[in-house]
Amino acid sequence: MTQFIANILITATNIALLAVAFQLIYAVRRAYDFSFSTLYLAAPYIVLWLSRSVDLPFWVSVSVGLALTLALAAIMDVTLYRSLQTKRAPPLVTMLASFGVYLIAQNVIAAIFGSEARTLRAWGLAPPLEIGGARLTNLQAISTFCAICGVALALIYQRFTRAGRLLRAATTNVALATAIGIPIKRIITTGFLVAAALVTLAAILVGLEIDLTPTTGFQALVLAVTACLIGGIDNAIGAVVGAVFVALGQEAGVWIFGAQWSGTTVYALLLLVLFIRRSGLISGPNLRYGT
Amino acid sequence: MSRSSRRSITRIGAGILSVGVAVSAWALAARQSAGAITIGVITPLTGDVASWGAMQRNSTEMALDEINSGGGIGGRKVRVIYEDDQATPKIGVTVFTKLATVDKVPLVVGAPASGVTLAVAPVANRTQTVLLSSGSTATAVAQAGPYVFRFMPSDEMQSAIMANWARELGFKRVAVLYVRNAWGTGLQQAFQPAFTKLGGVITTSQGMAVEDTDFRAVLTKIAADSPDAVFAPLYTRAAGLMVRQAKELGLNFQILGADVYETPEFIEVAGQAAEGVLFTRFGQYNGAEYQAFAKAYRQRFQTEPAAYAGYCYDAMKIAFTALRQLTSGEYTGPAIREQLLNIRDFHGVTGLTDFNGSTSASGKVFDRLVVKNGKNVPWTAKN
Repeated sequence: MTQFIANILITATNIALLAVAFQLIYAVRRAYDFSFSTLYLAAPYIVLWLSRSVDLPFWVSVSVGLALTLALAAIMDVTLYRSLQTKRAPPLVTMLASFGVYLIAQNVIAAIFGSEARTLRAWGLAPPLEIGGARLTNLQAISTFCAICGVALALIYQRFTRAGRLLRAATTNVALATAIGIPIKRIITTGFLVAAALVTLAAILVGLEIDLTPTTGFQALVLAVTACLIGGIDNAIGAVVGAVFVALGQEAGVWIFGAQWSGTTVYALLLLVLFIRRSGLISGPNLRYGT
Repeated sequence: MSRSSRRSITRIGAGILSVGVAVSAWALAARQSAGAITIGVITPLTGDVASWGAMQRNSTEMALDEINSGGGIGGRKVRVIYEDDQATPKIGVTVFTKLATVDKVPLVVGAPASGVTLAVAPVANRTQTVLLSSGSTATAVAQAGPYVFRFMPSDEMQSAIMANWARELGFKRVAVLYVRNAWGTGLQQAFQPAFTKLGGVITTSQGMAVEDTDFRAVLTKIAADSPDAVFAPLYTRAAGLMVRQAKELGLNFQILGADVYETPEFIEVAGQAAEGVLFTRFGQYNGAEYQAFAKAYRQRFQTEPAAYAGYCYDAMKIAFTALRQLTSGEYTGPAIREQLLNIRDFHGVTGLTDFNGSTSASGKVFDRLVVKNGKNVPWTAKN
């Protein structure tokens, strides 16, 4: 039982980090934006290039990698998204355009780094940890801690900072926000960069714990979207609650029905939640899908 | 005429000229290869088992260079069109259909993934295109139809060998962790009855998706039943990750692997955790033919060939042997099929291959290996 609870906690925190990052991107774009996957794919490969080809120390690679990923996010925002925003592109167009960028990124990365799996870790086997009868790896403990910090920062940004509050105001009613003088472009870019930082953190943790391939990014997006849909896509708390439900579904699937039913359990849970409460378990009063 | 109109006309002219040049170049290339005999190769060049595709491509290129430097077949060069099946049945069907109906090749070599071979088989039979599988071991491939040939030993045999081996080592309780596709499910389904018949107990059987990379939750679930060993027919990269994660969780049950574990990628991913892993792989013939092939492979690609590389090389050589029996104009699927059925005592780098009227070759076996000091070495009771 201890192991089961530990597994849920580990999985939930990692999915929560993905979910709050995606929820923030959704709050910025009001669309299912594949830039999440593009950044998730690019960040660890940039770190890999810096640490292996440029030969920078690991922590320097991570810091410079974060800066370069944020620069990439800023370029995407200024070139692609501002243009779409100016033309008042509907959410479907934003989604397709971002998907196109993701496909290009996949192919560019495959051409540069090859299709085989790569790993960020440059060390051997880490010794196991046992906490209260539950087994976990060293990296699981580190990534759980980092994910909790990332989620906390995202919640603080959205709920307690001026920039976060302005972002919510600006994206809820663009016309009104413009009329009262909120600098929408700057607010949106800031929000997108915060989301990009969270995505970078999540991707690097997975790159360290598991590995990376040019198809990395899609599965993470699916998990993040599922968590957001279960919890409610219009607020960060909902994303965290959704992540707990996804983790519960995954782990219950493995422990009760067998690993082959893990995905089925999660999506059955999603359908059940959507059937009972279409906008997710925790949804704000103002925002709904497509608004 | 305005300046903008002139500019538009210039652009249109330049466009037409570019298309004309491209079409001429294409026509020239087509004319140059018109005399060549074209065959197809489908293999995973990208995705989770891309390392297998890379090996197949290397071996194919070696066989191709040898045949073409010797004058080709009947005075005609042999050309190969590679298609990437990504080890995914749906994509396999798409690329095979393209080879059979657009490129109109009479023979396709591949695919290693049993799921792809079984999905492609109906198309091969319908279009009368020979599919010579270089790596599919699923038992069902032997009954996949008149145009589907394979010369690997079957998963049924592999599972029986592993079940016997596990009991020989004194493992009573074994868990199964398999990839949910034709290959993994086939091995799991064959292993369970074979092992229980020998008095063993299957503690749990857990199926994973091909794309799964995090096994920690399922490993802790498996560990809760305290098995002596885990039989894990997973694809190479997944297997490497699983073994590493098991060690990092401090789980010390014996890992029993299957044929794909022999690729260098497994040890690369698993690192030190691969030490002591036991697995079966396609029988490797160590005769002079194999030694010469391995030496040439090492020299050309700066890497050690896995046994599978030899099977890919032999698949091409067998295809050439069948084509040599035909005269120009007879290079059709039905004619090649007849010649393949007649192949007896083919001496290749994987030893003897004998189709002898069947679409499934006989005489191939599996070897038992252990990872020791970062290398795959033959297992003996002493190591």
